Amino acid sequence: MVEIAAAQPLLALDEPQGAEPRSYWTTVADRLRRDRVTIGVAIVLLLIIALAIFAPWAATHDPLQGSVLGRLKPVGTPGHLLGTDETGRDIWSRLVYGGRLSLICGITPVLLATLMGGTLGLVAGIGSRVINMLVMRVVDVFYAFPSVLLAIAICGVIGAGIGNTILSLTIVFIAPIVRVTESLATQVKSRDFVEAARASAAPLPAIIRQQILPNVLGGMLVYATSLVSISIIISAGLSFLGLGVTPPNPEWGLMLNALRQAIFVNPVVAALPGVAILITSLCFNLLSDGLRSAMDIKLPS
Amino acid sequence: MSEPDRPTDRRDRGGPSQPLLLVRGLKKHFPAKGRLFGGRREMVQAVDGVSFSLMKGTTLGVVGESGCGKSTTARLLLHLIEPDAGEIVFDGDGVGDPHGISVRELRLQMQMVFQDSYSSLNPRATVGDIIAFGPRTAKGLARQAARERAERLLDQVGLGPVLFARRYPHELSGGQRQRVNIARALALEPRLLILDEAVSALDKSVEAQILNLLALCGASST
Repeated sequence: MVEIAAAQPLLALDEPQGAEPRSYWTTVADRLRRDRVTIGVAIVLLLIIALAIFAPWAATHDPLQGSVLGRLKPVGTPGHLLGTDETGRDIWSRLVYGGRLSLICGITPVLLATLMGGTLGLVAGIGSRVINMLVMRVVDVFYAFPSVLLAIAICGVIGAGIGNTILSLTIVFIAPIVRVTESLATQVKSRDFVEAARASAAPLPAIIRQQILPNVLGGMLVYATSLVSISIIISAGLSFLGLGVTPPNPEWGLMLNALRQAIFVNPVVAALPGVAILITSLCFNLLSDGLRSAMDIKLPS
Repeated sequence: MSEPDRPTDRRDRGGPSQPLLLVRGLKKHFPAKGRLFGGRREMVQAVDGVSFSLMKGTTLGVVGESGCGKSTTARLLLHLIEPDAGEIVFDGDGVGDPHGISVRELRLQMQMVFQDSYSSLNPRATVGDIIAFGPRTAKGLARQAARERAERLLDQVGLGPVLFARRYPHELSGGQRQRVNIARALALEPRLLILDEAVSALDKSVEAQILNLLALCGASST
């Protein structure tokens, strides 16, 4: 007993005591701030979103107002900075307005699918083997279709229009999100700290909310961000095929389709909506990559 | 563990002569990876007929090479995995017995310190929240009361609450994390503490400190 008492003072000063404690999200934000690429990408994305929101001020012309004489003007035409399309409408103004629909079609389905698929995935990951089998095998059925094909099929059945585009894309994205969430939840569920929480006699809802969910959300966020770019591309594809947004509304995929005929007359102008799609989806992909590396905190940097 | 200096625990039922924990014929066989179709599936006999009794105020050590089922036994005792067969009697009450106590009641009185100090702490929660989780959710303590208990326990295991309560597990060293583990296990004021190689992952000097700490808490290991 004497030895124990003598050793006690050691307890207090054994390890160095570091700086101010920081929360997990503060650390993530700090790491993001030092990541130049992600910051740049985020600024570009914010710019695109701001242009879409403030389209009436950013646009130089009415996006629906054509001109018979001023058709397919090249890039750099005075008054029409990015030229005009096949009915003489200003490309810049249409791109700015089109961003609204393209972004809505890109983000809304992912949000809805993350809510529904995330819940299903958690249930499958945490629930019993029977529940897991049921959910995952049904998901496999949807997963068996290529996503573009499935979206086209659903849109073809329920008809064209922006609401139906969002609905079909939501259905398409539920399956992969369920899969990702289920695998994350299964991994987290088997970790020791969940076992420790169970050992502390805590009720299951508290364990899910406080132990499992915080450890799953990060991975879901990264995956959902990467889906936004796919969503933009598929919804543009649906519009291109005439299954998405209906003319004359400006939407990037639809514009690409309409300008297709002009590809030999004015290839630069015809490619512009594609460039917009490319930049936006690339930015969401890079943002997702940046988020993933910033949130992957194993050891203090 | 039970406290020798606390013979009049309100929860004490059988008096000092009744074993705190009585285990008879505990058994768990895991299916091993085998053929998918046909044939008898190979079983790993992880725990096969373990019986022991633990008197109040005493310590029981379980020795064996790695992979011989010590950790599995510990998890079976807490019903973290369901035993295939066997009987666990806690202070005269059969666990899961209609006249005995439920698994939940058992866990409120029996806690465990895990072997891996890192993976047994939620990486997204602060040390204070980790310790307060059990009292808050299982015992229904108010937020403030649970936090005060967590701070008291942190102090008890030699981590200043002002410095450590708001830290995250990845900001701590191995020894500090194992202290948090011990504090978490003590947070429900258990009558029995299971230590699953609580010091095996630590270096010698830290190991000595943790063992001294456990001795101070009146705790010892199974």
